[in-house]
Amino acid sequence: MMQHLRLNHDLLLMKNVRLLFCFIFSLMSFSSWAEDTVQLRVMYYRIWKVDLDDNFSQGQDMTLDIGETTSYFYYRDTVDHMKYPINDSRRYKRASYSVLKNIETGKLAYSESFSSKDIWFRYEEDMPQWEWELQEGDSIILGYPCKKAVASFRGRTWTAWYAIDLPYDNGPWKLCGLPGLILLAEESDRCFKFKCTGIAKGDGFVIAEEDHHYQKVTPKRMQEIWQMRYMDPDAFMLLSTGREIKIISSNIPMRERKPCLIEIFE
Amino acid sequence: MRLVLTIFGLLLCVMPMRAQQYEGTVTNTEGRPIARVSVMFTDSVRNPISFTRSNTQGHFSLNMKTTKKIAYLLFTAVGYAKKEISIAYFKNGSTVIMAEKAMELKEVVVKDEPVKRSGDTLTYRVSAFKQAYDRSIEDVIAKMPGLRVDDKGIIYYNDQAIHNFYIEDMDMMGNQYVQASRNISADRVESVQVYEHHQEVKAMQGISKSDNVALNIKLKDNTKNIWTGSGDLALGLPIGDADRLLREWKLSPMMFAKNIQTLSLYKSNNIGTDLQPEIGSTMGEAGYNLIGNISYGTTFVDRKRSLFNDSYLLTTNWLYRPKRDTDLRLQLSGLLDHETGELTRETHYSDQVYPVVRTEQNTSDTYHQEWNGNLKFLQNKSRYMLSNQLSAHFDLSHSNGIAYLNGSRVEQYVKPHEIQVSNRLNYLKRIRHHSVSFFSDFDYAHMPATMQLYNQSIQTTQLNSMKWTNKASYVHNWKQLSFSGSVEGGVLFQDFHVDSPDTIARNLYRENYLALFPMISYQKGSWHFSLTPRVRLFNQSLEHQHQLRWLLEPEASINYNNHGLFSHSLHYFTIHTMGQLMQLTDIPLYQNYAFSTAGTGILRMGAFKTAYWTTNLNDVAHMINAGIRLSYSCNTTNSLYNNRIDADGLYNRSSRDRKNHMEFYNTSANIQKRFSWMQTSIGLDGSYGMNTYPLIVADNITKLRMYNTMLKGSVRMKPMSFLSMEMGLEYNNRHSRQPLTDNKTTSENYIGHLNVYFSGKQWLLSFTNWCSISNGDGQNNVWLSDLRFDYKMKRVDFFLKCSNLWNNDKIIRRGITVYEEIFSIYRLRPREIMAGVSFIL
Repeated sequence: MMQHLRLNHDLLLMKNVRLLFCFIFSLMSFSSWAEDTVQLRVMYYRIWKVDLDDNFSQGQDMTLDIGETTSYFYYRDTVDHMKYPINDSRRYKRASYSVLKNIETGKLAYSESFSSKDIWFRYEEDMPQWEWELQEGDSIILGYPCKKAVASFRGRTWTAWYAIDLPYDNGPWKLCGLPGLILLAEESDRCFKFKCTGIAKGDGFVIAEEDHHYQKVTPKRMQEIWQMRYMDPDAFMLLSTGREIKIISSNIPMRERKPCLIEIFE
Repeated sequence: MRLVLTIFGLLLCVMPMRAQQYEGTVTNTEGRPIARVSVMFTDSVRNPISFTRSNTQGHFSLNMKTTKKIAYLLFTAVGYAKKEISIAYFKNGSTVIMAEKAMELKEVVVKDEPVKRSGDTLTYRVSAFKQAYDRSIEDVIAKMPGLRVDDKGIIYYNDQAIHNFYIEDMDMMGNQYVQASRNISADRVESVQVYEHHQEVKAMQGISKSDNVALNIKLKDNTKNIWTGSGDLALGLPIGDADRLLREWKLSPMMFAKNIQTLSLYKSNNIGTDLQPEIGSTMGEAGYNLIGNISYGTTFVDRKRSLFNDSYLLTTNWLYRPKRDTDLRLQLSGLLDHETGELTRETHYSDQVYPVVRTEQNTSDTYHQEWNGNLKFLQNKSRYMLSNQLSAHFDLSHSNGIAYLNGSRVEQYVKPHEIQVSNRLNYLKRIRHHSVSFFSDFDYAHMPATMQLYNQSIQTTQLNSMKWTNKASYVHNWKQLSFSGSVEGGVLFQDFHVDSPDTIARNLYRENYLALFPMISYQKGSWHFSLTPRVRLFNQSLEHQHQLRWLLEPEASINYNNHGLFSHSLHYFTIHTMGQLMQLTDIPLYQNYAFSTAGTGILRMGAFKTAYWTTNLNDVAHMINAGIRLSYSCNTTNSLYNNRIDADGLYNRSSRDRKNHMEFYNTSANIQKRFSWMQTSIGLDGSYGMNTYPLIVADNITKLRMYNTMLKGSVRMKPMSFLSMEMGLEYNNRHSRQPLTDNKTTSENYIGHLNVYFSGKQWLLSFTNWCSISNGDGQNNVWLSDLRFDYKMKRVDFFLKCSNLWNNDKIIRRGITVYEEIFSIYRLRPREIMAGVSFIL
């Protein structure tokens, strides 16, 4: 009987030790996240064209939070974004897409929501390698002297203006790889543009991806979904309402609209 | 030899291109390696040629292949001071030591786009439009492309009056938003948002498309959650009338928090500022008072220039939000106003068999006393909406005056009182993709009036009116189609009583109706179509007459909206008008001391039909806003009047047994463009219209036409940091042909303004000019100028102003209608000097 009790006690102890271990481990993992806080907050205004044959451009305020090893590029509300902490859902009430870069792991996570429902598509890829050509050219953006660089990336040619005085290897969207923070980037067909509108010191909040219901996809699939949004809205609605994801085949009836793609995955 | 020279030449070309390896290590002052240091190779003018980064051991390496001459190596890293080494002093494999230094950010002024579009929301950044001389947010809204504010403070977006006015997305003000727009300082507002296609009922979002426009005021963070406000205190004297002390004061405490908002006002002035627009129109659904106060308003000149008033306004507005979707709103207001009026008018009538001239010289004292209350409860949830609004309005006005009508002295006295009570109940429930709703509106009005007539006799009238409308609706969505059906029933009961020396009579009028409103709409991409064939069974009775009729009132619209950039709309509707009691009753009634009218006494129905096409361009990227509108409408009312003016100048209007059919054709266009160059904005407006009216002249019906043309241009710019300018020119032309003589009568005038503002860091000098030039005919040209100096401190603004610098005392204008030519002399406020202080609480 005593032996049986002892055994139970040992089992209980082991269970508790295991729980304690899990707790310490989760604390450690939390603290490792907590270490990477926002050092620099950069506000951008992004302009993009929806349709190739349409002159209409849309605009949105975005924020780039830069930490020591990670950075997060996301939508922000013009006025209210500063007052809500990063883990407050009000901060993302009309979110569109976000890019999480991690220079330590060399990975980039891209997530995007195409509807008002909380359904987000997400993929991971290796940090893109930008082959920048440093060119002659000076500009001053928000008081910072900037230099010019040009690179081709996934079917588009980008011109970027970076600030040497802000030695962050970062920029809006997937842009990075220059010896200074990218304050202005424009694509040669003038379909996409990112313009820095403000720079502030970090507020100490943890850089973390938003808490959403994510569906893992490949970059190619994300692109297909994006195209489907404009070329086959019925199928897109079916997809975005959370039902079974259909394989998007090439026999989707093409309509007049020609969506602008910021990058092309072959 | 040639071969040697070729090899030598090739070597010369290749030598600068030869690859050169640069490598080294970067450490901090303690010798620890620094990772991710940017190592840039620059030319002599510090243009980067190539770059690399150090690895985790602080080691960097770059194999350079370039024709450019490298002059410097530049090392940068977050948290370290920038280091530059001349290439001549750099040795391969050496260690570069970087000193730690916290990064200092520059004082960055966030420079945003002036206007941004996100879906159906346009956000105007206030700081991009505000000039040093703008005080209230209304002043700035009036400068925003696509937005317009009229003289009563009503805000229009693309010529459509806004439906809701929110402050931080809370509807505290209802239709009394002028109090907020004229009293919230522009300095406290971050941005102004316009919500196109705004569906205020959350449960209907995604079910029913709305064409309403709402405006939202986004405050600066330092204005939220605290008591704030502003105040003014100014005293002055009119030149040449030292006995009359001028004054203006205002106190407006306000608070805007997440769960509670409040704005109160106590204002008073005797310097010509009309406070009535701040409490808006209070006319109920049950009807309007047939007798009005004595008033001599003019549209020829800014009302502030010709209003002699002594006004007090007290209002308070509260919105309490105990839960996220629940609002409780209370609004109370009171207005006490004493207006002294003076008008000389000469009217030539061309619809009389013989030429008739009527002259009036009027002086009056109008005492306006008005009290209003409004209590609203709203639950606006995603599943249902419940709202109830109870309103009360008391008007205890009276006025007296002396008129010289064709030389005869007449004493005037009018006491038109009003009591109105109304209640609106609205319930809507969403069930998946459809909704059901119920609406009930009850209005009661009691309007007694007493008036002294030209012969010093007294006319008393009393109108008691009750209206009750109930409506039940159902909306169902199926794919891109939306169906809705409504059943509406209503009853109106009016009891009208007149007691005058000529008449003692009473009319009872009753109408009730049952209406069916089926509607189908279809949305496909940017297109939206809708059709509403309304059917009404209408029953009217006036005394012993009864009438039962079926009415068909179709409405159709086609809309195209390309992401808000372009929008086109084609709209048509017909609506039957039941006729106001004034047109129906055959009881002769004096509406003012010398103007009597009587309707047909026959039950008849009028109709209003209209069709219009509008195109709007709102290109935010290029800051262009433009619009074109073509419209046609015809209004058939149930009375065509025969006008008769006797030798004493008494005006008598009696109804003939004929319908009055009027047609209106109008076309208008406008464009506004803003340039970043000198913050310039240019606006052009134009309109041309033709109206046709039937008129009884010598017992024959004649059709007359009136043509109206308006052209307007305006420029606003800031050529230098200390100088801002506004200028504009407007041309108006009206012409028609006289009924009997067929002579053409024309009225033309030009109105111009030029405002110049000089500003320093703490001061502002404003010099504003307005002029009106007319085409003779006894009219005078008027140039009015004001000068104001402001000295601004952090929370206090001292000012000194002089209005009507040239001391013009009157404006004489000629106006024309199809059968009248009216010369009016309005008295202007004299030159006045005021000194005062404005402060922010």
